[in-house]
Amino acid sequence: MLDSDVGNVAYLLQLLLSGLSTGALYALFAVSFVVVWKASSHLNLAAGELGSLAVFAMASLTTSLGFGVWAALAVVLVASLGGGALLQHTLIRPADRRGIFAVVLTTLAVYLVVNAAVGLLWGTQARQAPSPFAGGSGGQLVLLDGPPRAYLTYGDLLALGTLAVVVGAITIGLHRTKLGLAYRAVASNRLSASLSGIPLSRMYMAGWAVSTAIAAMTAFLVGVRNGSIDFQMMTPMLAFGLTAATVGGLDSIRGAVIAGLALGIVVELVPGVLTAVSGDLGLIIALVLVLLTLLVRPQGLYGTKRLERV
Amino acid sequence: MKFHVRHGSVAALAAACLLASACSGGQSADARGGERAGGGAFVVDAKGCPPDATEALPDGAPIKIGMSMALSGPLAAIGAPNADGFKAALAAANAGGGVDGHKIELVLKDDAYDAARATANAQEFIGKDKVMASILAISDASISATRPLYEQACVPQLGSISAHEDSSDPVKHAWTTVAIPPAAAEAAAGVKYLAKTVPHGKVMEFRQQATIGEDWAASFPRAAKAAGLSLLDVQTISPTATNLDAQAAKLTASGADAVVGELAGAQCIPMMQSLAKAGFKGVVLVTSACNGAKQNMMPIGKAADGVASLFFQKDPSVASAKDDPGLKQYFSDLATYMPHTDPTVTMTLNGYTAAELLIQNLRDAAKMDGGLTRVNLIDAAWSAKIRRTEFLEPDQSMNGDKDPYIINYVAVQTWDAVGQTWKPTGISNTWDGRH
Amino acid sequence: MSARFAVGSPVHRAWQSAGLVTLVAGAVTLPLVFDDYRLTQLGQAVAYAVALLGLNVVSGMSGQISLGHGAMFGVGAYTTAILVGDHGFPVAAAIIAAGLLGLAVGVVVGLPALRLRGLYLAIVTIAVVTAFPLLLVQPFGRDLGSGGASGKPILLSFVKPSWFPLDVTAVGFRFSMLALTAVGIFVVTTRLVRSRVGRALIAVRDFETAAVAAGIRAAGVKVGAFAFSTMLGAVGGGLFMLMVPIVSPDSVGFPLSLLFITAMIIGGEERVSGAVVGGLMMVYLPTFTSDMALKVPSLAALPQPGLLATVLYGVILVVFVLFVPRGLMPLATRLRERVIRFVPPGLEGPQSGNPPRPREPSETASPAVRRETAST
Repeated sequence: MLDSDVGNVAYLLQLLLSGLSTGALYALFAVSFVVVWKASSHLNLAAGELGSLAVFAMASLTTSLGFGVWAALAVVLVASLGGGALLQHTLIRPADRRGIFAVVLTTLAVYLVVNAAVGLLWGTQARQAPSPFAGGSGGQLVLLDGPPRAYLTYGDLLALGTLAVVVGAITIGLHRTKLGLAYRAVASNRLSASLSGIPLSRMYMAGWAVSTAIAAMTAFLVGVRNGSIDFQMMTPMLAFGLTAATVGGLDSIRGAVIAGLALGIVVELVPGVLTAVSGDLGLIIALVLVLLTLLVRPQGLYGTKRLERV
Repeated sequence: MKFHVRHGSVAALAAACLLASACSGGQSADARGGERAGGGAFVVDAKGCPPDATEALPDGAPIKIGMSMALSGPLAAIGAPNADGFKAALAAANAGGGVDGHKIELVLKDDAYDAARATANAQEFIGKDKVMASILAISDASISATRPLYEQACVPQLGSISAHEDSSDPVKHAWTTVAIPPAAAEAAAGVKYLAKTVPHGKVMEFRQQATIGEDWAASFPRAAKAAGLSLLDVQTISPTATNLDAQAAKLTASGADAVVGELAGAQCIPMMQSLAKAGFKGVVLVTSACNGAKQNMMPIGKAADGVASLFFQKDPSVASAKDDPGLKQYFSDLATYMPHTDPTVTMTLNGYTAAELLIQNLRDAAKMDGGLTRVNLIDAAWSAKIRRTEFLEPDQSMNGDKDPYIINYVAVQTWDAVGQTWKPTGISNTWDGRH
Repeated sequence: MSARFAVGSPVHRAWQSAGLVTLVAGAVTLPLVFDDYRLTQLGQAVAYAVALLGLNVVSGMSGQISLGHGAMFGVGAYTTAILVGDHGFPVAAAIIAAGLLGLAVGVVVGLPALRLRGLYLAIVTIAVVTAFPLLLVQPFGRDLGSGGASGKPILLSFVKPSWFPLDVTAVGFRFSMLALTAVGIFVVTTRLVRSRVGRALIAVRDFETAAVAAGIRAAGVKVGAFAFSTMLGAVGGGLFMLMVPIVSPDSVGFPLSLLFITAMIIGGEERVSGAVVGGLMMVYLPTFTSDMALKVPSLAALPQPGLLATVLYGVILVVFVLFVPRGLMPLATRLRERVIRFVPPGLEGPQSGNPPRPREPSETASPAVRRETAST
């Protein structure tokens, strides 16, 4: 049942590279879930939609107001930080008093509102993605000439580079700054962190702010990769991002990165190599991975094993 | 305890009722067909119709047209432009005095692309709004859900958007007509193009797991084989896929000469993008669902250069469209009556031309014996003759089971990324109109 | 001052029976009053209510959240359509089979997710509901008879059987059958929720550790509750096919799950009756909001007025989560209690002097406690 091209090195390499670059997006999105989960055990299901709101705002800044792509990106990233903090302060905190489920439901509500608002404000037709490269994902780095050609586009390189920078920055931020120390204290034990004078609510706000900004970055890179953006652009990403976060361990940045990259590779490689699995089964592969993880290793690959089994 | 027993018995009773009722399940609804009386025009069999189906609309009463449309939900991108284009054409017709002294009134309801809501909407159109006809049903699921209702009430279901081969079947489903050519008509034109550009070549299909892919699966492979093309393994694509890199790798690895994108909407751009990245040098053909240049070609620049697409309607989004005399009336009506709507969206033109055909059907019905009745309207629809300049072949007609589609002419054009316009290839096909 | 009667007293029983009789009478007589389109909408609402009842059990009573109910509804609808259409099953047998399949799916999905506390069920069910429509268009799904992307039609007869005495349309007849079945399901579920099983559920929800200490197998109880809920989801989907002649992959995905969640919150997740309110809302709120959006000129001028309905949905959801967390039904109960109150035996009768007032249910009191003191 192996594909006829399974002996073709360029074919396999191309599937791997394509998986790696899609995986970088899954990983980045998963990191945005982990950042929130780590401190507060919350799930921000609205992250992707907030990201597409940001990238549409970016498109307006570049096309209507004459901003450069990088300037527009800087503006929306700052706005996303603020928006994430505001969301936490105005809606999530009151909901949190009613428990984690109320928070999930609130993020679902935000998901609905933001998704529809993007469609209302910018229309539902696809439009050109804001991209620093000409023609969407730009030129490419050809590793093997094939056929098929094995390549990484500049957009893919940007995605992989962004992932490295974001993870590096978060790691340094967590381990070298006072805020990071406080965040880690909250992540490891909320009660004792609060007793030692760490303002929990400010920590949560910081988490949501960073998470929303990472989601905005993810949406920007998804746009660069696809070449176009539309109001449903992040919907298919939700299941993949959650899968990567769960498989990696919901409180582990490292886990999210590794699981995200691996998920991308599996989703591209398995259907390309096995004829029995057709190319459109990505979401089903993701579902199977989630179920297997929870059965075999519920804390995920790198998660902390503090879950109480009952 | 007594209480408990009583409750249990109610449940049992209900279950028994349901079981008993089940005996009536499994039979198909009686569909009403039509026939042709001795070489004359195709006439729909109206014997079992309710009496109001043959009652003429009172003088001056508005002609109510029901439209159940995906205004929200996953296909909102298709629904709203269709409705807006339709409204613009109605407003223009009403400003010109309407049809036979009647104004046309649109009863618009949202179904969010959900057959359940489309069903309730259809019942409301039939039972409460008493519409003269319904128009522009846009999903195969909604069409098959509501068709029996319209057949039973003898309400014409006109201008449905479906490329499924069975959707226009005057003998089995005489009350439903279709506004676009079937996938088989597009596939035939596409195969002609491939047979000319890559004779006896290897062709790979990228098939979206959606109705469009299914419709093409039913017609393209057969036609391609008959034309001497050889078909490679089909690559399936999830409706939510955002890139087709793996499929593109398979395509180039296989040494294919051409690829056919049997996909719609959100996947047109990702496909062309992935092909360009993979450096595919062969022929690329996409369906008419991807032929809006502004939405699908212009955003990706050079990656779209040379892509062939199928056309029956002109593309309102290219720069030259503004000067096209055939589209002049369309642009002016949109600017006058729906100034907030983007007229360059293909779906807006689609809604507009559907209204043109409907208005023609209504005018024809008003001239028939018995006046403007639902039965006359459906008969008029099956024998329509119209000139619509927004199409590549403006002179169009239908003739019941002999020619059940209003549009049979499909042409192939290729995108010129430098000139930002479509170039005719000289290849076209006129569908013979039969299954 | 409201009248007080003991729980279990003749008056209380009469109250309960009156409710039941009203429901049964409504199921049979509504088709005499309403047109087909009203009945179809109502019938859809009742089928949704059955599915919502399942969601109430898993969320309100076991404290878990499922975002996969859209898929469960789809499992039921597809099973029913396939068994009736392709295999000649009677409708009732097909719906029962759909329920059993829903139960099995619930166990498979619930077992890995529910051994853990927290949001794992939410994550797994999102994965399920996004993957489900895809399964339907796979060769595997087509071989089972899913009908692919254009959906699976169900061909029910459009005529009423001759034994049915009332002069109603075929839609009316199917509505009656659907509604009576739903009443039966509601009654059985209510009994179940008030039984030992229901109390175990609530104990696990409110004090999981204590419940475990008291000998309740928490994971087992939660998986059971989830499987029961997916079963009702599937049965609801099966019943829905009495009102809608087709099911397609587009209609059973994540958006439907979101509708279910919103409806559950609006009706009130802890009450069986909340499911009815939620079901009605699922049918009428989208219709109402999109009609409204189309009628207000300034809104209709927006590029996509239909999407306003979705915005409104989200706003309603957040308002309810933050301000009306128990949903609408407890409010209705409070209104009723101004007139008639049911209290534990010993507290009934007109109050004089300084009576021992029944404790007002606090926000955190479990439904079990509420039922003992102040419920139907």
